[in-house]
Amino acid sequence: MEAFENSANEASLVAETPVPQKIRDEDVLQALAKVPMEFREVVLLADVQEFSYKEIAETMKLPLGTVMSRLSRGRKLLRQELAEVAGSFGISPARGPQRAGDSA
Amino acid sequence: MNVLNFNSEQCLRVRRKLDAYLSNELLVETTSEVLRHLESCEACSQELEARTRLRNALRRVAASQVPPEDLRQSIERQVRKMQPGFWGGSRRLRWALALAGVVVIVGSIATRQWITVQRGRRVVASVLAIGVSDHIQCAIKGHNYPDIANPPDKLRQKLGPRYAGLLDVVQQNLPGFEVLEAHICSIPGSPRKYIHFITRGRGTILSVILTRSEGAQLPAGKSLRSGVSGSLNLYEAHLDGMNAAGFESSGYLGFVVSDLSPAITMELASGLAPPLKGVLDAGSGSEAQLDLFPVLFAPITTARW
Repeated sequence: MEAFENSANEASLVAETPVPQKIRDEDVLQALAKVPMEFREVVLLADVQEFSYKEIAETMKLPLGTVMSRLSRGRKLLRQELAEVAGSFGISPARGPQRAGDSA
Repeated sequence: MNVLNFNSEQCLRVRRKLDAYLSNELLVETTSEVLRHLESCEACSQELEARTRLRNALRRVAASQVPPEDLRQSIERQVRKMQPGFWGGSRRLRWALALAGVVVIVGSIATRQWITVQRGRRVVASVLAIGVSDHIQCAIKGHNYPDIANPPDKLRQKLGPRYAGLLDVVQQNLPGFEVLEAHICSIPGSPRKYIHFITRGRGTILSVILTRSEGAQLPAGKSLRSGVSGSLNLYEAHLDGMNAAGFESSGYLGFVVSDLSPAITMELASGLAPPLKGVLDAGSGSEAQLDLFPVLFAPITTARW
């Protein structure tokens, strides 16, 4: 099974939450704290500890689809929270892509 | 404005796979497709760069939250004791340590949250201590109130025109309490002035105290407030044997202080704080300086009524 990130709302992917240019450790910890545990756990195991999705599913006794949907949701939440935390400290996000023709 | 060419159909398809691409979870064919797109799409390349940056930041944070050595040794001991099963020992150890790492990061977050809340509570306590100290110094130790309530007219005169109107607000919104005394006082050595109502009820003395905030501020944060009355946040602290409930209005801090239980003190403050705030806010446009009424100002060390 190929690992696609599921998303119920595809339009939201186009308007990705931009990741701040400068990411401070404090901001990451604060943002992580706001991501619910079930999502945070799989994001840390996949993106930090580099376990495969299959390994995570087997060890945590979760269906592979659940692991992938939690990863997708967790990563998105983390980006949103990070943008919020960084914004509160005046760190501007990186400029996100625009659709051609959006410019006035 | 710098406009990037953003082909939504194709970009959407690739972006759904970017994280899986970074995790090396894609089939070879799909990886090639993603790579081909990235070569020609600046916007998606930037998005990949941003997600890589975030992942690197996560790893950096994780690396700084190393499990304590004794935890690591304990895990290694536990893993060695386990019977060989589906996984080999080294793989099991890697998992155990990784989960310990997750726990440490999560623990670190919990610790930071706890520290933040504790700091907030200290700020609440330090602000409420402003009111508690006046209650103790003026009402309890100084006993600056008569056994029989002063007549309202006399109390209004002591409060001065700026604050005379607050007397009725306090009297009407503290059911079961009688205002014995009202004045403006201060604590020796401090320039801070207090509008102080000393009341008696439920077998004890209760103070209602207002003072200009002068930079002191109650912290924001739902976890720190103890109650809400209308749109007003109420905070509580137990200090020097007294329970205090505090609130903020425009430019003023308000306190209800007594040795009654925290629940009763909070309940009384809930009824009193909104009308007091209403009057203070309404009068904030025509601020009169307390110093305009020096005759009415009586330092508590000398004040006796």
